[in-house]
Amino acid sequence: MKRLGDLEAEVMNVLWECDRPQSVHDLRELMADRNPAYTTILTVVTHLHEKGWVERTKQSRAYLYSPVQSRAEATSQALREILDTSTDSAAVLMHFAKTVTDDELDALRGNLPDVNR
Amino acid sequence: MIVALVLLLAAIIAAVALPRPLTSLTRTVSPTLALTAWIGSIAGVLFLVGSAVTVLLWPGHAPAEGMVELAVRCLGSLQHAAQPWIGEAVAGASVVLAASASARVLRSTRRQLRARSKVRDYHRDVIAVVARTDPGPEPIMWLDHPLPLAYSIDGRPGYVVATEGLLAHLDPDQQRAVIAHERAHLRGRHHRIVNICEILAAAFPRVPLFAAAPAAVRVLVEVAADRSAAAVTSADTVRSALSTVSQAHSARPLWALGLIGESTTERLRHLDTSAQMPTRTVPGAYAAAAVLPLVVPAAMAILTLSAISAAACAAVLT
Repeated sequence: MKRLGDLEAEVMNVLWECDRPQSVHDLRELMADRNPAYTTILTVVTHLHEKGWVERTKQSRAYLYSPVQSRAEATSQALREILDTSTDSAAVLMHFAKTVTDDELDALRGNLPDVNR
Repeated sequence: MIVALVLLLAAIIAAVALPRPLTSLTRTVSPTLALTAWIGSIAGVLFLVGSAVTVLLWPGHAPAEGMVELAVRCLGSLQHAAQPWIGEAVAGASVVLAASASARVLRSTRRQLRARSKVRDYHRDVIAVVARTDPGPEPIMWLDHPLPLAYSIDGRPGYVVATEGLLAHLDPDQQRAVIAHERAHLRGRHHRIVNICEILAAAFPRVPLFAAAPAAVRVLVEVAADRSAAAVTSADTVRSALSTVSQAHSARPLWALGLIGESTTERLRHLDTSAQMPTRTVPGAYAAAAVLPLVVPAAMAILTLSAISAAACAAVLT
């Protein structure tokens, strides 16, 4: 997966906070404090779509975007990937994760119950 | 050539004999002091070997040669009696050895850097998106996950990754302790120290000092970070945070296996002792810890060679 800029993280943040799909126009309004250009947001969501973070549905003339996975699911998947990488991942020192309960291990293995959907 | 011999002998003595005293140091003195001693020893060995190669390649007699030859005069006279091609052959061989050693270090550095940037890229591309980030000098990325977990990623900027599970399992003081612990890793450049030790261990697995360093240094940076966390909160808080997350259950993520288990007991022990006694270090202890690993083997090497020299002379004379 290629680099996701700060803005891409921010758009995902907004989408995860909302419970309905959003258009580029909606997103612009929700991110008014940053005052992004319409085309910027359009580029960002297009990237996110290409990378598989969001799915889109066409409504009249505009696309509506929504996250493919809930934040919890995406996190669980990302964390699983990290925990599966080799023991001597150079940049990481890991300390306080010593143990997991069985339920948590199940969650880690990807059997996360779909509580957020 | 005599100087080079002394230097090499000193390096070998240091590389073989130091791990044991260093390990016992790890258990007795403050973690930063022990870390200094380890780093000093490793740097010392590299310095000694580097100097030996330099001296061998030095055209004519290297500057310090006269002094050392005084100490080992007999071997010196033997050297002058020896054929010049011996010196050249030794110099040539040292070049080959130094080149292959550099190649090994280079290869293992490349491997280490690749692994490091893979982890960093993944965090920048994926973790940064799913996390809620607390900005700051060392940002904290909070992950929405039940597994109690905290770790740090070095770089510019370095940051801490922690989970909601951590918040659920620990009280606010313990949470502060965990974050302080991770920040101590970032501020103390612990990742870099561990990385360098691992690069050398991977490049020269047969050198006892290098082979022993990563495990010892990993424990030491943990203990040092625990101390910083204890300074921000209290030793009791750090201890309870550690026990809480390490007692929950027996299953562990893949890469937390092995050393971590042992180091937890080691860390708890250190926290016990640090709670009892104030940690005051004698002034100059750090300098001593950094320099002694260099000086003592060098002195031993000179003594050894002098003894050999004397024995050789005695043998020649009788």
